[in-house]
Amino acid sequence: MRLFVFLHCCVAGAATLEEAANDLARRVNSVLAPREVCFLRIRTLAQVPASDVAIAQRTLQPLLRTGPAAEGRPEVVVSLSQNQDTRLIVAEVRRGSGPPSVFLAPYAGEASAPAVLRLERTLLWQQAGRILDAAPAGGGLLVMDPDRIAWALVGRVEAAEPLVHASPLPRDARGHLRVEGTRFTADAANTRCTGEWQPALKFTCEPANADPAWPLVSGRNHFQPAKLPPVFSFTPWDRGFLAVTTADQTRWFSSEGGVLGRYTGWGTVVASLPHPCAQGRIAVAGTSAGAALQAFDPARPLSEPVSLNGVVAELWPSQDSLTAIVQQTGNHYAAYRITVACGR
Amino acid sequence: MSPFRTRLFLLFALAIAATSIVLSYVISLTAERAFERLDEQRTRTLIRQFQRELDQRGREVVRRIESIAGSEPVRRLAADAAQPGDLSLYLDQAQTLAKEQALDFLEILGPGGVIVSSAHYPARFGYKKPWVADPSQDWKSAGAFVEIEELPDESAVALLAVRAVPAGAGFVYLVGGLRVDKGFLEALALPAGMRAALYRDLPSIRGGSSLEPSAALVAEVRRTGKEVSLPVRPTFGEPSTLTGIPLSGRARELLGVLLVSSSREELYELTWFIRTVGFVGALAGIALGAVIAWWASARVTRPVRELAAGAREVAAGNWKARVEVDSRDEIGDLARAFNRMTEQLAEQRGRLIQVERVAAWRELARRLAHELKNPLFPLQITVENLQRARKLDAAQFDEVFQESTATLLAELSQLKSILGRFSDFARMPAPRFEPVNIESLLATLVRLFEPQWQSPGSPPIRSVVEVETPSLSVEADPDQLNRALRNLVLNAMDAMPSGGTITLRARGIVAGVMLEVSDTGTGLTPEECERLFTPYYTTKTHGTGLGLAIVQSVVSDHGGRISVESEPGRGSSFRIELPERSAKGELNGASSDR
Amino acid sequence: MRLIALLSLAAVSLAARPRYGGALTVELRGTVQALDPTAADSVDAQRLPLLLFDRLVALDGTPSLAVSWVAEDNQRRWRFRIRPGVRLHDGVALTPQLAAAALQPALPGYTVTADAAGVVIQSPRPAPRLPQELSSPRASVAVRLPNGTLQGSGPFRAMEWQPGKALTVAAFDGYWGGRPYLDSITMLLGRPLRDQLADFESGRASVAEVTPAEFRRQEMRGRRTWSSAAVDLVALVFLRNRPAAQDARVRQAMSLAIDRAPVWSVLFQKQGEPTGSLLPGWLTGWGFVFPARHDPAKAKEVGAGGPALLLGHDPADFVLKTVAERIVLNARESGLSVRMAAGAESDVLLVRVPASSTEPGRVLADYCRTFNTPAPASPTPEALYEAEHRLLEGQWILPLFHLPALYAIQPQVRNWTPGGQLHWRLDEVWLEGAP
Repeated sequence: MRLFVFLHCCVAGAATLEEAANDLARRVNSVLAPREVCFLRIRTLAQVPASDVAIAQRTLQPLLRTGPAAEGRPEVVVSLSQNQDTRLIVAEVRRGSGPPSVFLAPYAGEASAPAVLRLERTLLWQQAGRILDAAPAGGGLLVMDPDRIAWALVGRVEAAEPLVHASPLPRDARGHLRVEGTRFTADAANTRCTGEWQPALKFTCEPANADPAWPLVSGRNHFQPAKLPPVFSFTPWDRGFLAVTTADQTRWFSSEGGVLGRYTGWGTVVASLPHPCAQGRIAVAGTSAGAALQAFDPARPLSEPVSLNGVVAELWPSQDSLTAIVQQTGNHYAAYRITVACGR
Repeated sequence: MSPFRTRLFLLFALAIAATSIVLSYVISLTAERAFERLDEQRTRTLIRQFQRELDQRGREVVRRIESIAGSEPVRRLAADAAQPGDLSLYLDQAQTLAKEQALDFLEILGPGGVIVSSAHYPARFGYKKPWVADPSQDWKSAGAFVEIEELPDESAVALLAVRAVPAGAGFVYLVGGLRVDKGFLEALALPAGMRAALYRDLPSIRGGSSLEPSAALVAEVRRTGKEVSLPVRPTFGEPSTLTGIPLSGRARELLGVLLVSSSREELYELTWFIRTVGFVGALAGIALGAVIAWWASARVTRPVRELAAGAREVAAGNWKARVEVDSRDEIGDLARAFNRMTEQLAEQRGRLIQVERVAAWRELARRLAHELKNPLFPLQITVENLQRARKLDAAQFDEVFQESTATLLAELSQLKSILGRFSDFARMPAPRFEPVNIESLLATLVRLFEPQWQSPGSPPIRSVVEVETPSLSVEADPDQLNRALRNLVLNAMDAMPSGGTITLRARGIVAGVMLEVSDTGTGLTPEECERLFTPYYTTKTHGTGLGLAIVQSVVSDHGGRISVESEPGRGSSFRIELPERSAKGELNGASSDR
Repeated sequence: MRLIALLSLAAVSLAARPRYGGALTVELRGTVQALDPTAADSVDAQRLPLLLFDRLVALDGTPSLAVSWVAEDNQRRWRFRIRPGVRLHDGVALTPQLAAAALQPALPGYTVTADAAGVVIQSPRPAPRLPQELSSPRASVAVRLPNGTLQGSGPFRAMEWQPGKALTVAAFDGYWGGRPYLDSITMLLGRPLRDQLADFESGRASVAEVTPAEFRRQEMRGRRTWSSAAVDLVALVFLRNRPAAQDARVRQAMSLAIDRAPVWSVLFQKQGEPTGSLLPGWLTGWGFVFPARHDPAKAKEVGAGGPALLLGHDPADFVLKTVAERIVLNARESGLSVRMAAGAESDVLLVRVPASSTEPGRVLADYCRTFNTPAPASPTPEALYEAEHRLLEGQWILPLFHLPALYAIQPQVRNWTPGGQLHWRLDEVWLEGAP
């Protein structure tokens, strides 16, 4: 059971970004000589929306005498940062190699309160037997099983070709389809098949190579992207990845493998989507029981959980949506399309 | 002890002593050399044993590393190393494995020689040891080697082995071993009296004579790169042979010097013991030699002494002296020869005496005949004159008778005096000894002759009397001595027909008194000196020639001797030496074998 | 709360059902000498009050003893409605008066009074973060009895207390939030990590603090693990009374010589992060202003000819020992003369300062007290930054890493629920296979 509290950053009396930037400019000018020109650089750290950068730039530029970088010219580095409670705008005035003068001002971000979203599901396919992945192709659906790839239209298999694996398929095999136009690539365990679904379903398979996009550990059901520990599921995220490790830990890893965040209550699948009504992305993950999907910030939920009548076995990105493969009762599997919308 | 015996004794003693000393010295030297060789051999053996121990330890290290290489954790590590991913979880692995195998050093290196885990320097993960991963190195069968290992607080000398475990396309390397330190060296099975130490601080060693032996040795090893041995004799501590063995690393660079010392204490003790024994032996030899020499010299010189004693006796006049020597050697021959000689001498003397007696008789007869002939001839003439004169008248006959009888009487008187002298000479009694004051004797003598010397018409003769001390006296027969001196003075006067100086001297000599009568006369030739004391030898144209004989007789009876020094034209000096006599008149003083 | 409970029941119906009963053993590195919450200045010390006492606000900010609260007068006055029907362990009802009296010692800058409905807390300045402060274990409602003992209303009651050694608690049947699943919990204090691991491996401990390597091993074995927020600071502290440490160039050279990345990657298994700031950047938002530069060439240049330093560390912490050795290696490579201190004499110490809170103000106040500098004037970011800047001025303190506390949890421990970023909800835990 989890209940998340939305910590309000909009406390009465807190400054807006413009106010904070104004205050900062005044303090920066106090350490610059009159009419001294400085080189201004603005950057964001953490998950501060790009819109804040624009506001900061707009506010600071006229208040400081700025110019290009030059020898002997002081550099003013403005960073937009945040902590648990508030956003911060930090200015470092650097002259040469001496210690910089640092000024900071908190401000309340407008987008700090996470928007509420809605996950929507659409049933794509159902069958008895394992589905590795399913991807919309044209008006139809490409469905990948452990031993075949089929092209279905209006709920009926129109064409199917067997999947020949280079070596025996491991237990709990993983597979993923990527469709581009009429061509597709299917990665399954240790085999890669490329082909087309139009005009006819045709593909050739060969033993898979190590591919950063499909870093499946040979003979296993988990991945090992570079510098990361073994993971069941991973998705690109800010400066790194969101991943669920083989120890059922959900982590936000930096691209160097450092842990930037930890989350609990997620299942074994995670994927990300662009935020439908704001900058950045959102994470979609199974709940701890695996029976539902939920959108996350990732620290806090952005939507209500949506149940899928089964345990979510896979969550694959598919163009602008996600495909969820769900294991329902018995050996029945279903493929859902998952999208996210703004609002409740 | 007789000088000869002393010489002999010294000779024997010296010979034996010298022999002992030389012998013991030679023995000591030989023993020392032999011990040195033995010690060297022993050191060699010990060094070889040491090397064997070291090699044994090296093999032990290799065995342990191989055991680790085949262990489960390492195989797991190698399997993980073949996969992508880091090996950071194995950070503690080396420590565990090292403890299991009782190794002082153990490092596990991943592909490329990057340290994954280090038992002795855990913080060195991530550092590289490129020489381990050198592809030209074959670690499969490589043995142990010496290397400097870095530790947090120091660096140590280590005996290491390396093994490579296949890990995918590369290898995982195990580098481990034991520390070569005091404990390691002590754990080696070294024989008693042998110690080993490791010298590490090489850069600070410079050559120089002011260093201690071990530092100088290390410098030498460093210079030559070979084993160097030198004996060490410290002021405090036991002497030893110090050997420096270079410890070379993989690339043959000198990492340290093993100093192995084997005690020379035993050697020195033995040498000292032998020297002492030699010394004692030499002393004993000398002592024994002295005893033997003493006895031998006594034995050897006894016959010589007897011979000498015999000779002395013979010299003293005992012609019957014999030497009792029974040996068959040269000494015996000598003794027998001596005895024969003395017999012969005695015989010869007897014969000589006989001959001399005969000669003396003959001489006397001649002299007598000569002396008598002179007066007899005028007698005969005179008697013949008388006979002829009978024919003359009475007056002429009376004259001739008077002359002739006068002449006859004179010649007869002459004959009487001649006979008287002979009779005196024959009748000279044994002297009667009494103390005679020389000064008064000489004064009397001078007074006697003075009128004659100063009478006009006779050659002028001066006299000088020199007496050493007024109290100078001698035990003598005053009459005989007087007579002897008178004869000498008379001879002196005869030697100075034209005058001169007569010097009468008297002084004390060793064991006696010396009286000298010197003149400044014509002198005598050496031949004449020799023949002088023969009776009837005279250089005078007149005289019986008995004068000197009488002097000689008197001197001889006094036990003295007479000698003459003369030079033709310069004069003569007659010297009489009279020995001291005791109150009883016996001769004093030691006899001298002249 | 009933609604939540129902929801929680619904949520877990798909998973296994919790079982009542069983005893949990938790081993902690820190020692605690008293159960007084106001004296709980380390995370481990705060774990005990969490069992015995309630707070007005729960660790995650939800209502606890206070069902609701409202700020007045520009957040200078806060009114908390006390939950009715709450009983202390001895059965006495918790009244607002009792609660107010219990809270006052924990809130020295505030005035705590009671009214009919609950507790009123008055602050001279606006206190926007008062609810967060009241969720801290230090602000537990511990009613002091006349005999001096403390009585709480928490899910567990104290059964046996050996100061510095162990606390055994038993479930409080009359807990307003429902009796905990566990029958009892034993907290063992002052346990070195090696012993904790041994106990964990042998099954004697249900929860143990582990080293980063061990944490990763447990993770790889699929075992349950939990890590707190990375607030613990590992830093080099130069001792002001030591002549060698007084050389500013040496301190600067040391700060440039240390290569944090390999240590963080290997020794800490990429837990936490390397840092140059006293407080983690995610906590303050300005951590990047204090960079952690590694420039061995510059270090060599600056530190040339400097005095030799003796580096000391807590001998019981063997992970820090390796870190210290690595620092010595880094320093030597930059031409600095640094040695491990064998005995008591050190010029610079490698220390691990566990955080007691994720409130920057509180943490900085603790640091200021430890290092004898003035506390931050106000809880504003500028004041806090000033305080941190002052502490780091002169490079007497060189922050190296922020580390989380890492725990391994036995598989039979179910429903492991974190409370806040540093704590656990042991009242939610149940044991599988419990009789």
